[in-house]
Amino acid sequence: MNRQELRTLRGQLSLLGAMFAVSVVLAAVMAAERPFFEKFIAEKYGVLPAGMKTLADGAADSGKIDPEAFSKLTAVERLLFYDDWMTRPDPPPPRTPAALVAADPVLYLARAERSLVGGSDSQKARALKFLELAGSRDAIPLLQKARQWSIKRRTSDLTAKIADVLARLERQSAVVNDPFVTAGITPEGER
Amino acid sequence: MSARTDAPDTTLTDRVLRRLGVRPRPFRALLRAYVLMDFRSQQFGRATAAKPKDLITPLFWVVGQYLLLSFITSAVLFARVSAFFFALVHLGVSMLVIGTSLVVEFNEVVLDAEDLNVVGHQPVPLRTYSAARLTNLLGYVLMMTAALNLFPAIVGLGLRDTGWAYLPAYVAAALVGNLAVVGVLLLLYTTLMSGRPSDAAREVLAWTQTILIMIAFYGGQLVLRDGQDRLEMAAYNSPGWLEYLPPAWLAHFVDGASSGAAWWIPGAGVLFNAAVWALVMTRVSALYGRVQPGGAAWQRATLPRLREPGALGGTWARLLTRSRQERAAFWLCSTMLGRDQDLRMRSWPSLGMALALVLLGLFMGQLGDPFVSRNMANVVLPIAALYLLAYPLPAIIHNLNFSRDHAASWLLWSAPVADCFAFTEGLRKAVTYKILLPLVVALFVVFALVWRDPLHALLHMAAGWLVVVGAGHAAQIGIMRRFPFSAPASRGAITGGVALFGGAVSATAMSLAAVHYFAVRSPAGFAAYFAALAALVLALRIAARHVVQQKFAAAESYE
Repeated sequence: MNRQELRTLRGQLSLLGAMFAVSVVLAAVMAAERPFFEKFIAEKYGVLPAGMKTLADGAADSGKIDPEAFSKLTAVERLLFYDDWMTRPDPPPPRTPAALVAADPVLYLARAERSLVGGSDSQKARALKFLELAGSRDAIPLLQKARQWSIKRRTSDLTAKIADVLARLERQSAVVNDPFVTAGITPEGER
Repeated sequence: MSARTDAPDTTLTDRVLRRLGVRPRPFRALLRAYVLMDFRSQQFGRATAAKPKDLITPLFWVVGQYLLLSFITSAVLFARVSAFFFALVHLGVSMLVIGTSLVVEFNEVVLDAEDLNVVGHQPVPLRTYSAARLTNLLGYVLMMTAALNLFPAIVGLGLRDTGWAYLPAYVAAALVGNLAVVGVLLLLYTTLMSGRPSDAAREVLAWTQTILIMIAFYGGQLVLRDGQDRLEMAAYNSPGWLEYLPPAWLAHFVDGASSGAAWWIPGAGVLFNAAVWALVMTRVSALYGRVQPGGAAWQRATLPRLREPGALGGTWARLLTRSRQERAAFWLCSTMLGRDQDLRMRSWPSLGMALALVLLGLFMGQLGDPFVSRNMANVVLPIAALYLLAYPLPAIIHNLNFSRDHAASWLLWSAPVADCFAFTEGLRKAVTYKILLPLVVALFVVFALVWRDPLHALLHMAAGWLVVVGAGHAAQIGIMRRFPFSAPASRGAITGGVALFGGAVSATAMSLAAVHYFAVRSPAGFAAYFAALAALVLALRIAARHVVQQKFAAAESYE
């Protein structure tokens, strides 16, 4: 088709058609390359300042965080403890999550939920570990919602991991809520 | 659409048309003429100052922009959100854009009073004219719908939670949604209002398009850089009120397409569309029957009283202009900006980008002082906002080419304008001082308050002012090649014609923004950069003088 023909109505419609055709190809390539786009879905974590390092190490060792020093920190600073824990090499300190969630449950549970939704696969797994180690009952509704969301999105691996952690937390919670267990009384048959 | 006009009335289409009371031959002729005008009529050529050899029509650019919008939105959302949220956003954007486009370009798309001059004396029955107009309108809506939904319809197939049923379901939802929006708008305007959108409504909706551009171009970039996962969390915790919106109903249908879709939703949509469009056809036909000079479709008859001869412009104009020719152009441009609602409506959206960045910066706490902060994320927005001020100048000056009263431009061509550069200077100054200067001052106030350092704000905006002046001279070189208001506005010409040049100016400005970012790190560096920027503006001014004289001479011989 030469320039003269392109200037006709048919030519102009062909040009538009060509633009749509190129768009269709581009869209098909995008649809087929979901893994490429998923590579960019990952959280970035801040670095814990040296001054807060001792506080983090204390939480990792004792499972408790100095309440006075912690209360002086802003929310952004507090979240750096989470960032630090998330970037620790495997295995991460097991006592830190419980210490952090005990100090500020709303902040840290919401942060872990965000990692479950917006993190990479490995970050989601680490966030689940955080919730499991935190052992908080408040994490149960959060995980139930995340499981529904994961089922809907057909991320079967993540669904299985969430269900696993949820089951453990529900068992822990049931044990804690059991009045006999709480009072130190065990069933006859198990003595 | 490209059928022959002399085709015998024996085809199925002809028989259907006759049964509908439409005469096939004039219907085909009118439809073909409308499609031709859409693409490459003389109007288009003049409106865009396109040469006869130019192949790319403005309509092509508009379709390209809508494709780009849907491409960016798809790329931002893909793999990050669920199928429901993906469909919801795209259907919502599509319905909003098609609605705003219809209202903003109402005169060009639905009701063009100039048709009366061309078709009025021809033996074309009203029903045939209405059918041709509405078919053309339907073609416009379908093409824009395709451009706005092509990417989400196909890219959505790649989401984890969709199957092959997603594609037909999404296409059906997009068609139902967009046709319903257009039908309801037409019905509203033809039933409750005066037959055409009010100027205020069109101005508001032009701003709506601006906000969408902001969301797509800048919001998209922010999503990719956002460390708070706001987009993912918004999809995860989507607010309950969303469920009450029609795009959410359609998105639920698309989302459930793979697993027992709620077919009653598109079914109800189709019935709704059938009812609305039946009413629309009746109402619009009646409206076409009433079109007459001085009627509702016509431009308003009463205009503000002009100044007395010999008193062009006020003190402001005398202070800012150097010669009478400059002052005449300054007055003409100022008067038209004050009088021509279409011109204002087409011009304001280009200012939205810079404003949007400042608002986003305020909202996200990323409006840092570039002279102090070394955090790139903190200073990108205030610097980008500054350099985005370069875009409105070419866009607004491009808009000055068009006017509903373009036929009166012979007055300018026959006027004794000896110094065309001085004339274009008057136009540039009117746009710069009447539109951009208040914006620059407003940004200065915002930066001074946020940074708590008026000196830094002043230096920052001084660089911004040079950018504005430089962009004005660049527009003189690239756009001002004829007298203003001498071309008719036609579909797509407004947004399409300046896209390439505006993009080049924006790209240059953004390159300068990168230099600015590094220059502000030291006073000496900023001083050197400021001097270089001033030299560039001076060079552009000198170049503009030469280019404008040559272009006007060429255009005069052509006219």
